[in-house]
Amino acid sequence: MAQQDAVVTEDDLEQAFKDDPQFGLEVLDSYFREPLWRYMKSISRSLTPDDMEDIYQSTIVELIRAVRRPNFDPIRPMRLVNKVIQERTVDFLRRKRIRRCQNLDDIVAFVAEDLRNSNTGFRWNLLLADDKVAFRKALDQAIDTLPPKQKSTAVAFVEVYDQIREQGTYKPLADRIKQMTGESVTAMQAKSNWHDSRSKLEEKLARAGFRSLVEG
Amino acid sequence: MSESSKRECQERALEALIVSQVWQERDPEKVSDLPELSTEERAAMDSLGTDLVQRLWNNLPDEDNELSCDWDGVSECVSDEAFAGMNRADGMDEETRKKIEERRKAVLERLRKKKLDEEQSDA
Repeated sequence: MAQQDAVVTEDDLEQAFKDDPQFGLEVLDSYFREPLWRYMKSISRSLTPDDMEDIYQSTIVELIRAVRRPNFDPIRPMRLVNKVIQERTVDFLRRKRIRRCQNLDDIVAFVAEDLRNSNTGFRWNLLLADDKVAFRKALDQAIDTLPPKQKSTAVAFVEVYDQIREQGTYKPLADRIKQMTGESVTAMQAKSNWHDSRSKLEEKLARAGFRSLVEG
Repeated sequence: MSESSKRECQERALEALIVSQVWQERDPEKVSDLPELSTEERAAMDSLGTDLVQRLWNNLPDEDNELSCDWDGVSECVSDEAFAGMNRADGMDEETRKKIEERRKAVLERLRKKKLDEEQSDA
């Protein structure tokens, strides 16, 4: 199912699309489904499994339309596939009114300010690229394994971080939690919930080998 | 700087690091840098069955190209998810499922054989 099977390369996929577009799509779905779902998840942590199912199916529908067109170009098909799944995901988020940072530049000023002169920022800059990837993996896992309430709070915090910093209040977090879970919380409760989630994340990241980074 | 201010700065730094790394755009080609799927997400993925393309392909009319999908831009085909949702594996009879699975195995076998032939001719 997954690309990890390592039997099929993008060249194979290209050839499959050239031979028979439907066959190409079947090979894509058989061998690249899991990486595509993981890519979808990287675009937004707010997606539920049902959302991901719907986005993936609409991506396949879009690809069927594409390969049936006379001007379909089978060269390097993953460019096309990744573009479609990204567009479908962003489109879905827009329709569900789920906020998504279009560009890291939107939050970079706040991140830079918060990391400036901190031990965490200093140590982060010293990490090798592979260690940064390992940290992201540990963070992904830490978020995924939080209890549901803490997880939704963490996801919500990430989504509205710049608004919290900009407005100096946790009201945007309370609003986002309500939108995600239906639960009404005050700004103070939202802040307290986030602090619980953050402590858990800190523990998990420390256990994953990043103690000095997260404890500063 | 007081201890509580130091602690607050440290907490903010950790928050900034968490936020920046979650937002960090991932390269879809680097699978190892993509987040793993949870058990629930994996179950949803597997529930789509092995014949998804076949089902959608057969159910999508050729004339569908006339709909408002714009391949080069962001698509706004609101009906797609509803359409796709009607094509889950649940409603399929056993015989059809078997036929589709056999076809899937055949196409994948064809691909493996092709690759093997190419490797042999290269050697």
